[in-house]
Amino acid sequence: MNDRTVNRLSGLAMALLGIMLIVAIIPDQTERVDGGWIQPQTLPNTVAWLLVGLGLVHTAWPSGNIDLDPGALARVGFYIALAGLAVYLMQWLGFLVVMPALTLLIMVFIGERRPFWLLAGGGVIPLAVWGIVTQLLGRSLP
Amino acid sequence: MMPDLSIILLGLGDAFSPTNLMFVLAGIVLGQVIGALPGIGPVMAMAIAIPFTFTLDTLPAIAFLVGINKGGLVGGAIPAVLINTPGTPDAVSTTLDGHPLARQGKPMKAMKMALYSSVTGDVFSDLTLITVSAPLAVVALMMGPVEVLALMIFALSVIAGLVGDSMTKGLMAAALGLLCASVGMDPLNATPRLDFGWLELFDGLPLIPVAIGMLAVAEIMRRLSEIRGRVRPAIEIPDSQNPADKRVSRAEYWACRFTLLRGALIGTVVGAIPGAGNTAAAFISYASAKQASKEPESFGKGNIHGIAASESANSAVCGADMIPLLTLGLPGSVGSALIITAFMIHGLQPGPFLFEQQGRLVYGLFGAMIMANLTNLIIGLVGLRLWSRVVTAPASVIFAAALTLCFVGVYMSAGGLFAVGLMVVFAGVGYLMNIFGFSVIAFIIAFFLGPRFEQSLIQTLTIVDGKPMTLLDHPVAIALLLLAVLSAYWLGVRGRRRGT
Repeated sequence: MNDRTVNRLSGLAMALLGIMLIVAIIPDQTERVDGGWIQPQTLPNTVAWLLVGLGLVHTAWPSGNIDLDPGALARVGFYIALAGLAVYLMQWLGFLVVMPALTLLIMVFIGERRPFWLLAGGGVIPLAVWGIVTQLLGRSLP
Repeated sequence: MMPDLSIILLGLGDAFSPTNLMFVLAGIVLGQVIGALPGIGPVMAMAIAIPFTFTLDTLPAIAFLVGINKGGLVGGAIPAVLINTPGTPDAVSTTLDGHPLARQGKPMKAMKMALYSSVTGDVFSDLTLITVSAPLAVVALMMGPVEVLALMIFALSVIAGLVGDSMTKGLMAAALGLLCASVGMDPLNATPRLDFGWLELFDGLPLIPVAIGMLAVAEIMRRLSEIRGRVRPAIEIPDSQNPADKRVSRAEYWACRFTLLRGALIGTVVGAIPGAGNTAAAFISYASAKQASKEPESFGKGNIHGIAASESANSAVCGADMIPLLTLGLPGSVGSALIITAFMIHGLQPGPFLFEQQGRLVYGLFGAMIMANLTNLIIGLVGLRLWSRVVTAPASVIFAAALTLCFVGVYMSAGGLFAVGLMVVFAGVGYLMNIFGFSVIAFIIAFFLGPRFEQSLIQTLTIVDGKPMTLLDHPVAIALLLLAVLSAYWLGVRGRRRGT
């Protein structure tokens, strides 16, 4: 798929997002108020219409470069999912268990094998940060 | 409006206090170290540092962030010279002559020229800021909500056109930023809006998780995705034993004076334009230095004028960037948006009233910026050799540390894991925006301006009261709106036709 096609698709996606906002999301997520013609929906609706208009313009006249690498996208998706899981687990297992595990996993996945640097990144650094924040600054972490 | 001398002196006294000097020093050191690490950058460092400044007084907090910004611009030249990889995007043009000079066995000469040029450009733009900002604030005080709204529309249209390579994508990114800014309580009617029933979104999407997610975590994830088991090659730069090759003599610096002045001027003008950025300034300065040179063919082969042009311009943007920030409360870049965040965390709104209500703070900030330039020079001279070792640290550890700091910083700033989760979500959004060419910078600035934009819009609609002809009473606003349309045409339609 070349850049022009991807740009057209992204423009279409934006226009569809705008339509969804106007038709469903904004009416569902805002309240009507009596009196005055400046409503809670005024700015969101204005922006949504802008998205529709600009999205259609971009579909018709696509412009700009795309930097889409499916492999990199998949890897980033994996890291984001890992980070999301870490946030979820942190509420039960705490920072001191989850953060070193997350950083260690990421370091191993990207190919780091040297024990010294694995210990530094996966152990020393999270522990040092925990120590500074909780002991020195007196703030709490999960 | 002539500022009270006593206010100026009090402000300068605050700037030179031991506490403030300590935080300026810390910011400069951190900035230079972070800037030397390719892929991290001062903006990411500032975003991560903001939560850690909550407990500081306003002046040290902002001086710390400004120090990181200034130090980062110096640090970015180190990997540009040593390994032909700019530490920050604005140092790309520094690689053109910095690395070839290093390959000739003169890495220290190249790095020192970059340092002296950075400080020169920085001092020039800071003096410009100090000179013009107070009179500009007087002009800004005459602006009402209609003019402010028109100015924001103009600023957003310029930013959308200048950042990225597509005007429509830039405008869509800005629109998305405004949309996200409208999450939370409606300012006029106090009704919940777009919060999807989550109590945590009652006050809107918090800026820090959004900014750190889109600027820092998204970039960390992108860089991690590129590594994949590659071992960093050892740096092999020949080091000349001739003492003259390890320093920049006074004669060499003086010979670059016109290049430095031109670069500083270009950087200052470009920096005052919202959205233009350090990188553009550096390249414009490099190109004009090459054109003005008697030996243009020597550019790209280790000409110190190339380094001088690039570094003086990219650093001059730093001070000039503060002009719209302090006088109008408008961020021209993500860095200045983050500095405004620091102001707001301490209960202050940058803008023309800041000079009247917080004159001591403003002049304290000016004093801190001058001190930061001096500190940048001293720390740079002392630390260049040390920071160049930082470049050899493995990326796996650097990004692991950065990710840890992002998690901790956001948790501390927003006090909960919900904010950390938001950060991760917006990291995904930021990454997707980057790969599809939607400007994260336009998004962040629009997101930041959103509440003020809506407030001005409400006030404007109230003033207009259904009678559009009322706008004719606001010629400045009409002029700004016309400029917005013109810039959309010039940067969007004509820019595309020229293939820029």
